[in-house]
Amino acid sequence: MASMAPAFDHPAGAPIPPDLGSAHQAHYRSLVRLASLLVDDLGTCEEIVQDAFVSVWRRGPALRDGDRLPAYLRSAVLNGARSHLRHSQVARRHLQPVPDPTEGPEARPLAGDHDRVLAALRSLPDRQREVLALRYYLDLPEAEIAATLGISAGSVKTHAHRGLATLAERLEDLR
Amino acid sequence: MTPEDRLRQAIEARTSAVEPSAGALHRIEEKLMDTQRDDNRKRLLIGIGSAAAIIAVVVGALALTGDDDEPVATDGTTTTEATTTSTTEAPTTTTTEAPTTTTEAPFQGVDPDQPVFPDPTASRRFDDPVAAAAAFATDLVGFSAPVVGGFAQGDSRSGEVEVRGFAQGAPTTVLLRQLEDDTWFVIGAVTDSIQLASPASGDTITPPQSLAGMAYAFEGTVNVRLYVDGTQEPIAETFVTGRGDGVLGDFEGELQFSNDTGATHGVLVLSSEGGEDGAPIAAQVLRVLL
Repeated sequence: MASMAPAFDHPAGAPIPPDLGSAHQAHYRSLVRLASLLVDDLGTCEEIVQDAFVSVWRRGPALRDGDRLPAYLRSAVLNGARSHLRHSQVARRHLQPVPDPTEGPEARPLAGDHDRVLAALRSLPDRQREVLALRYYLDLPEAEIAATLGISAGSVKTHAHRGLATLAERLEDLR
Repeated sequence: MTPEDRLRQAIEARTSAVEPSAGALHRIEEKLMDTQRDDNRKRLLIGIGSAAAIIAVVVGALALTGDDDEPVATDGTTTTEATTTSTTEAPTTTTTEAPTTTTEAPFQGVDPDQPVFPDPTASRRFDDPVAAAAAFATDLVGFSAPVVGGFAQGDSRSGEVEVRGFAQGAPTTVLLRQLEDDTWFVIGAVTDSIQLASPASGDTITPPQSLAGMAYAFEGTVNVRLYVDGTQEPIAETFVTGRGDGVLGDFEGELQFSNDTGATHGVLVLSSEGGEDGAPIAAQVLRVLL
């Protein structure tokens, strides 16, 4: 499969730079893996990441600046995952009258410690979950996490602290 | 082992087991082409709609003049320009630069019970609702770089514009109405994260005015400002505390103020901050009487 972007105009009228292939090569795998921390189904993770590329590409070249592209893509992936999780939560409310509060919207049957930890991570509030995923998977500094999520560096610290504290409590409860 | 270590190990185990499928790039390209087809379809529909509108206006002008021999070039030209402008600007209104259609019209009276922006006692007026919403967001609420959406028409003289503090931020819905002088005024703004129950829009407030409602914001803090017509600076400021964890929580507070100018109308602005610059990112704004 050739890695060249389709040669058509985006809505503003400028041609799409032919760097979709290299951007895909550079970021796709890590973004799918990032999404997999938040959403269990891998097919859904890939859809979310593909839609993130489409969203960024059709908004014009400004978002595809080399330095800013990773942050825009990460942000789009997190938005997509959040949207999917909310939709799933609504659907689950109709299907399951008594949800288990220790389970996140995408929790699977617990098979081991890693699954327990991931289930606890997915049960955290949106921002806490995303901050921890960005920090412990991508090892991003606070400033980059802040830029990705559109919040202040102080908020990143707060969400990380609260997220870890809640995670510790929930893991303790599961012992 | 600490929870942090367990989290790192779980993340490593999960992510290292994930391998994307082979045809992902091809799928993205297909989705982009689908998107372009949709965009082209929309542009075609807008073009057809514009052409139909131009024809309708020209036919209407001819019918009104009742004289087919009378030249209508001036009217036709003006109408064409206006229609083209609105259709080409609509898709690009999600930028921080709002259309600059502000007019310094001679003062014309409007019913002061409705507008929160622009100040009805001043001469500033807007011919364009999106421009009014953008100016409202920066000049009154204090957004530093608002992302302003398109105009969603309600009835023939009213509608809404969504404004965000940043691209992925929660929307503040700005409610607009074309008042007696045919220019656009903001008549209020609402957002999901701040829901003031009392006072309500149009209520008369007296000091000390109690405040009650529900909100969530960073660290729960919602700033409250009171402006009165004819002044640029708030005459009173305070804050109330809702919840900070993304769930609406009750708040109660009190606003002490002194109406030194004897103004009869004011604007209450409740906003939450979230940007690194401390600028508001969401707001509820309502008209109050004094």
